[in-house]
Amino acid sequence: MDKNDRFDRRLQLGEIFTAKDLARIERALSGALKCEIAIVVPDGAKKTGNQRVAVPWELEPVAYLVSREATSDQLKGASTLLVLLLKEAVRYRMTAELHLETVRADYHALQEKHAALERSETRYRELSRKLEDQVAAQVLEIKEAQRKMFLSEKLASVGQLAAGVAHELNTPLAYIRNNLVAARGYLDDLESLFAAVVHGKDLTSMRASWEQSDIDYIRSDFPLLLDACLDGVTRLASIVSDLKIFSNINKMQQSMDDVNGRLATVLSMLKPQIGDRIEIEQVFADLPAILCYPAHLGQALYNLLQNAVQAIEGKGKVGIRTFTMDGHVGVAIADTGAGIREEDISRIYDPFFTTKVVGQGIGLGLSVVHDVVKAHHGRIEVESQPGKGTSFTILLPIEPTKDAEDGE
Amino acid sequence: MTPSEHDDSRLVVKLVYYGPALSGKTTNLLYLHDRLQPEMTGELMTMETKNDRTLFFDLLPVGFTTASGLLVKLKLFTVPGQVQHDATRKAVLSRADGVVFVADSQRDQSINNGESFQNLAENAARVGLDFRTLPLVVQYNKRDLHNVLSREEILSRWGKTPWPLVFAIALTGHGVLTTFKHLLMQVYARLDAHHHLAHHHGLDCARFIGAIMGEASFLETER
Repeated sequence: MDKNDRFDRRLQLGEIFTAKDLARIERALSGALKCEIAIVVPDGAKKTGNQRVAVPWELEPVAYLVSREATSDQLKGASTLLVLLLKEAVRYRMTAELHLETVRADYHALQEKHAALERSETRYRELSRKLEDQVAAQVLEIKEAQRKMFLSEKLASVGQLAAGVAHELNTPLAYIRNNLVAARGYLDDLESLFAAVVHGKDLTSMRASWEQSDIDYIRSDFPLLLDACLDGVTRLASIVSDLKIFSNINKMQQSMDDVNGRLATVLSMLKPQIGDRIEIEQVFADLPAILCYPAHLGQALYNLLQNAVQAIEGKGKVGIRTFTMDGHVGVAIADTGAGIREEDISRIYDPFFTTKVVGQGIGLGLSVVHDVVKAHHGRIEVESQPGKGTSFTILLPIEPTKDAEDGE
Repeated sequence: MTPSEHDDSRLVVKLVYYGPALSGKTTNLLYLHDRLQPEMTGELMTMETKNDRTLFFDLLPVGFTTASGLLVKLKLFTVPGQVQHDATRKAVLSRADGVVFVADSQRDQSINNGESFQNLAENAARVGLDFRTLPLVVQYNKRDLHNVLSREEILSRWGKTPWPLVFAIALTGHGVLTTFKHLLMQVYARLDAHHHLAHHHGLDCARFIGAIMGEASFLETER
């Protein structure tokens, strides 16, 4: 702070009174004393022959009263009057300047506080930025580790898949082969009968040949063998179909389809597995048709329902409910089956993850469901209590966005 | 242009009466105004509100001129004691050459005294005064009231501090001159060290005190 700004400095006359006020005071004093009186500052030139009386302020003359005619007593009286005027003016002036000084000091303190706050804010920003960088770096690290883990898991999964698929394919293949070998044997057995027919043997020798080759048994067993083979081929086809869906979910055409209708079809397909042991409880709401991949959607619903049915040992109930909610079509499938263990919940959608014994499934069922729902830009939720049952809910948008139509 | 406060012909000394609200700072000043007999006394300016509360400051200028022609001017200030006027206290304390700390002897004022003294130390540091070398006198005022701290209690608290301690009844003037004299003695030592008053102006401590206080300097010696 400039020294001249200090409130407790000694004030000069010009600071206390304006020139205009000084002139008025001069005129007032002159008028009162009926003679010319001048107020001059200390370093003003002395005029000889004049009466001169000091006007003291803070122990020093702040001005002189000068007059040619006035007596010394008159000037002293005028000086006292001027000091009283000064006192009031200085009192105001000093308090005003003190006030200003404290306001400046307060403002300065505020500015310093503000600057300190700004510095600390900058530090926190910097800290926050560094933390963000660190988090980003760590996220990158984790992602990389995850990717490596995923790769190694994927390799392991591929092995698991190969084992699962091999087993799945092997079982029907084994009995198709066995059946075909048996069928081939039956053909050998039929050969003697055919020969007898071709060579026009008599009825007796033909009958003997019939008896010898046990044609009666062959007649009853041959269709069974072929049916079993067809069954095996159907199973092989279904495994191949699952693998195909898994590999090219997004390469199909979309069309409008009715989810309730799709569910009814799937239910009729599953009828043989459901039988009498499982009670089906259906609550279907009126649903709008949605743009979807109908075959895939059917597959997903099939997988969910099949899982529900398979989860139930002995008697049980499967509830199927459809509804609309917030622009979505919803399907909830709840069973009273074995439930999913807590530690398994996070992995149920992982490809090739299965809790079924080898040969019962290759771990693609829920994976396919998950991918199908994702391809429809929908959501899937699961709630499960081990020993009580599991409930899956899928939500599919009624009007997929343009983005959704494009697929991923 | 304002001439410098200190120059070859003029020595300006600022003395400040500090302390908690209503401890008697202005009363000290009024008594000094009545009893000091300096060569020159300026206009006493007090700025009290209705409730005897000092709003900004009080000011009493006293002074004398040495034989060598040096004008020695003492400006006695009081600060407002109320806590909320801290910025004003700080401004008044700025550039002080000596301080009287006026404490209130009443038992229930002990905390206020302590806080005010702490405030004095902090503000001294803020305005750049070295509290260890600053001339300072501690005055315990209002000794005439009931329920005041005993001399022993006060001495046990302040006896070991480097500052002179004076018991006072400022309303009657008891101890006021003694307090002031103790301050002048310390202030003189500092001034003499800086301005060689004895050597250059023939002004020793006794003459310095005598020039400000006149006969009042002999009135009290009790501590």
